[in-house]
Amino acid sequence: MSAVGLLRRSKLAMAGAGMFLVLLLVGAAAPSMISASIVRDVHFEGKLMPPDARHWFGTDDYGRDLFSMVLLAANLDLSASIAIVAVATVIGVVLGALAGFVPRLDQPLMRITDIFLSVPNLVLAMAIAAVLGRSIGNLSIALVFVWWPIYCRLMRGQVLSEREKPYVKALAVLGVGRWRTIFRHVIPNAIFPVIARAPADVGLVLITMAALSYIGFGPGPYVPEWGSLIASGQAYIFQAPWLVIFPGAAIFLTSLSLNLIGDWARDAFDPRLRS
Amino acid sequence: MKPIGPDEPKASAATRPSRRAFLATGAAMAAVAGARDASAANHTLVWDIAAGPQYVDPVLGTSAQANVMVLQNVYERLVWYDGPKMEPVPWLATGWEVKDNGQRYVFKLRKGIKFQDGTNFDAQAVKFSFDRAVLLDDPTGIGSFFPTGTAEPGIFKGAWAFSKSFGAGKDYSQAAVDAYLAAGAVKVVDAETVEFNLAQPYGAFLSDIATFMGSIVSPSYVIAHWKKPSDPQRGFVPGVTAGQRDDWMLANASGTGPYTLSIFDKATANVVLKANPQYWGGPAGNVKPALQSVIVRTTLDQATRLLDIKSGSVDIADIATASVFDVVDKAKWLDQKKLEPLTPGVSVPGPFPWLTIYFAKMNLKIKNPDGSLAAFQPFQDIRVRKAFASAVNDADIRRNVFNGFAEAIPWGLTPAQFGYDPSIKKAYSFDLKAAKEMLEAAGSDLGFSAAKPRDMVLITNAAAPWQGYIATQVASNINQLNVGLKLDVKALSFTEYVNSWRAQLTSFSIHSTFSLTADPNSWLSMFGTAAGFWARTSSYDNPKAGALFKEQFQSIDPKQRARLISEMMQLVNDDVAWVWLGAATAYGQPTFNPNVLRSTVKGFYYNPTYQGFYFPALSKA
Amino acid sequence: MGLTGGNRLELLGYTVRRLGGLGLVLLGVSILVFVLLRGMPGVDPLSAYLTPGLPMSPEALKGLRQELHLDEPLPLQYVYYVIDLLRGDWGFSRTAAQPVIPALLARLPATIELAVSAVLLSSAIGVPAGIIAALRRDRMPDIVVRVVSITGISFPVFWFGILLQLVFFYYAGQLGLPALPSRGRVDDLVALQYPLTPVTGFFLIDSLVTGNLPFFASALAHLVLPAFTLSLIGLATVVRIMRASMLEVLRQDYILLARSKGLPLRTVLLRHALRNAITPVLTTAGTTLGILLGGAVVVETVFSWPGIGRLAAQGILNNDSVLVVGFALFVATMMVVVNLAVDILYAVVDPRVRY
Repeated sequence: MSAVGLLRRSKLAMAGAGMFLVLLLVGAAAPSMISASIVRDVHFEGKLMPPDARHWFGTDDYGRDLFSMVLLAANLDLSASIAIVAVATVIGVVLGALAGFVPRLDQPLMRITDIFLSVPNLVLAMAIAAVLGRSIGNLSIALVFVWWPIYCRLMRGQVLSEREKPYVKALAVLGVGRWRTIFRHVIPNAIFPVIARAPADVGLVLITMAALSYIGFGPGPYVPEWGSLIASGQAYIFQAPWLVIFPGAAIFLTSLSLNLIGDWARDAFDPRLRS
Repeated sequence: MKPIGPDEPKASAATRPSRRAFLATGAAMAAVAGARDASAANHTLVWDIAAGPQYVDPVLGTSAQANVMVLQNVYERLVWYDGPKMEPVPWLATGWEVKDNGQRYVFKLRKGIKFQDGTNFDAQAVKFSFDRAVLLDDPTGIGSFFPTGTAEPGIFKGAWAFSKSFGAGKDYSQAAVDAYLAAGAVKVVDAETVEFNLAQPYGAFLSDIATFMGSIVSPSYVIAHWKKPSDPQRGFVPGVTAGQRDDWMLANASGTGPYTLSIFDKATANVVLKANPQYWGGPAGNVKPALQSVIVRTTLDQATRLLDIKSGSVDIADIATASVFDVVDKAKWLDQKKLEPLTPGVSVPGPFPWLTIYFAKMNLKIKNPDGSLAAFQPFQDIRVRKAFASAVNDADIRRNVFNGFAEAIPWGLTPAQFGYDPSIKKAYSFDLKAAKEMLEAAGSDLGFSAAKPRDMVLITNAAAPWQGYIATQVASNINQLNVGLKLDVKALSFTEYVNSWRAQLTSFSIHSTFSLTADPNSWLSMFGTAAGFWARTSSYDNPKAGALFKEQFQSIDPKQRARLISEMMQLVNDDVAWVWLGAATAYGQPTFNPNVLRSTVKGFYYNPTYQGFYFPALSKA
Repeated sequence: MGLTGGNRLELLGYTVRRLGGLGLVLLGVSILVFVLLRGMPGVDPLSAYLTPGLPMSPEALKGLRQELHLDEPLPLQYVYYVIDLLRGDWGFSRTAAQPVIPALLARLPATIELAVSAVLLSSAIGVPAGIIAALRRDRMPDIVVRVVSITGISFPVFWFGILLQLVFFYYAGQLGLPALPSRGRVDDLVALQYPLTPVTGFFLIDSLVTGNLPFFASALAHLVLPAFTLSLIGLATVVRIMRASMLEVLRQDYILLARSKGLPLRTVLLRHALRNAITPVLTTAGTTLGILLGGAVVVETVFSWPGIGRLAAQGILNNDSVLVVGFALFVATMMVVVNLAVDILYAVVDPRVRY
């Protein structure tokens, strides 16, 4: 059953993919549809208003339209999560492939990943980001550092098993160089478990980032981000629960759609499950 | 330890229908019932407070207003603000004389009053209490403000020379202590007469000793818990080590007041006060506490306090102005100025004039982080100052940021204070057109224009969102004028924010300040003299205003003093160094937050000099 | 199986080997932590010790530099650092106004009470759910369980906690229903009137043991919402493991075995399903603990629960890197200890493990 075939068969995965596509489009389009100055425009007279025809999600404590804020935040949150996973994947894949192919690098790299993996994700991200300084940029760097070891190990394991395969031995006999073998042949074949994990990981990274932003790494009231919107909305939660409900729902829907895609990706791509 | 309050019926095993039911409902109800039972009793009052006391030594404590709440019930003063009136009346004293043009005060003391530890109140106790305030010399507390004083020659004779915090003091040796005592600031004339000698005439003397700063403590109690300093160089008198805090007195108290400090838990800041059975009854003999027990419980969460007052499990709860529309009707308040509670059984007395003001300050000497002077100094030009002041929509701020709990003021005094003068004129009003004109004119001289814009940053306290709202409004208003100033707003952590304005890194910043006394001296000096707390961080200096301040400081004729104060305020206003956003009004009797009461609480009256309640006045129906 | 003398020696050897292995991991984490504190390019190691806004005198700064051996070469600094760690000196936390280890240990019982309650809750809900899902495979209950499961892992835990507060605390209170408390470990008023005699530091145990029923009730009520929130994290995993384990059991030929033993089918199935499930649960115990502690950081913040997670979160706001980094090391240590305990348990139970 091909990957696409599986996708078409699973209604849930289709729904998830569809939902995520919509969120992605919205997040990408948001900065062009919504003027950035909205973040600084205060309308105190209309603050903390419940949702109505003009303000679909209501207004916040500055009088800003929450719907616009959530959309602008989508841009930041989605692009950051995807970028973090992408960068972590690249680093992890390259290092993992090296570990699998170059025995001298294997042990040290595995020890390093062991160390990183022995501290829970959120805790390690906290520690790195705390040292670097409280900002979304540093938080993203910290999350890259937390996530690359997983891909490194995955890749390394897969590369080790690929090495035993006949085509790799054939390439060596043909005189193809090691690096060429790694990059043009092994990696493309070994990368499937990584691809299988990636969508769900984007969701995990998103939630971790929002959680850390909520506890205090937030970029402040003038940079919309889902986690920090919840944090600042919590002060008014009883007067204006929509401040907390809508950004949270956005995180939830994004994460749900990514998990549905992730389930499909695991079924479709992970060679270990295909046996 | 015996549980306080009426005994609670224990959940007996026979009546538990099933374990799950017990866990589900019994647990939740028992937790609330404990409080409700205590609160239902007519002799116990429970108060959910937003921030409890930090310490209860009367010679310390400026920032935690809840400290004063304890002090004003456990300790007493020679004169006091009894009832809602703002003139001090004799309390522990029976009368006084003012001599030597205001440099000498002689008080006659009341007989037969005892401290809570059983010892007698007399002139020696008064001398001990005030000498202690000077000798302990806590730099963050009252010892430096009163009776030491914050500018030469100080208030009490010899205190300025002694104090290292604000005065000229060099050390805490025994010689220094003896020198202060020899100066004779406080003299025991006889057991019922005490004399104060001041270094200069001081118009606010009576209003200062009427506050917690004039609390009379029991000398024997302090001495019993005091240890001699181990350092042989350190000076002392029995009970007070020079320049050193007394750890015991931080959390314990013994005064003459109507309540004793039964429990003060420093970890949770919870306080229990118990009625003093030996209380002397006040000057008219009619002060008899109806509430036998007062439980003040620090509850950090606004929502919990709100639910507690609505459900009736507490009698008083602090409700921040930001959340006031959870308890009163928004439209009725904003449009009709009527405080109408949303829940039955809750009463919201007010609004009352409070001793807190909101203002913005403009820094005339902006510094770089390395300490050097910044190249761009916009606020040295009065047109820029006026323009910024004119860009602040203070009416909108008072209505929508402070939810209507602020009133317009012409100067940095509140209507509750002596010297408040509504006829003072401001040199600006909210006018964006005028602001634009002034900035365009100033821009050509100072080198900024729409073509060549300059950046400015407004710094706010991240822990005080109201500052962010105001800063955003001002920044947005000025940016839209398109005159070449691009304002950004940055929210810093509390310590970074404090450091920023202390180090004069700020340009335009927003602040609130509260006064522990109704006397205008502290704010007059802070805003009007070069060395004043706020003026210092803006490098604002008007020597004429400074001279007027000194004159009114020494004036003991109220009419003359009021005239001098008005003259000084007008001078400062003409300089447009400050933007007066408003004076806070409150409901209930606030400490840190205003508060609401259950309707069963009777006898409440408001006095702006109180911090929190005077419990002998309260009873429960 | 009894532990003979020879077995005991083998066990000891195994323990030492595992200890050594895990000790190496901790050493590695200590290197990571050290690099974070001292070796980050562009980050001044002293900045963690300074309160932003309160400049230190030059003498104090010099003294601090000497104390931290900052002028020595990095490897030597690391040696000093490890010696300090082993001595129990993990630095001073500005946030807690006390050294890191006492600060964490003082708040540890609160977090453990919360974590254990969360584990019990997720087991209490997850085990039956997984079993039912397996028994009714691909039918309605199974689908419901799987949908709820995937919804559960998509829920941001902190948002879940806030929503629970909103519903069970605020709206319940507004409607006059008994409201579950949303903050703290116990009602302050109850604690004042019925003070707890500390025995273990665990409120539920201490109050039961000393017969302080009002305190117990209040502590239990305060535990409900935070534990429920934290249980969300492990719930999906428990359900998945139980379901897989039950499915495997159903596949095998236990029916014959049960008939031959004369036991009811249900008992046999359950017993074997649970036994199958224990293995994956125990092997991941350390990781689970780590994930729980990570979740506790957020949950404790939402519910103002005075545990180590909340302290670490406060440390972030305070730029207290010493505390936050020390917290990471502490968590890693706890995970290692748990892993070691589980490994030893396995070795005791199954001698084949002690190669």
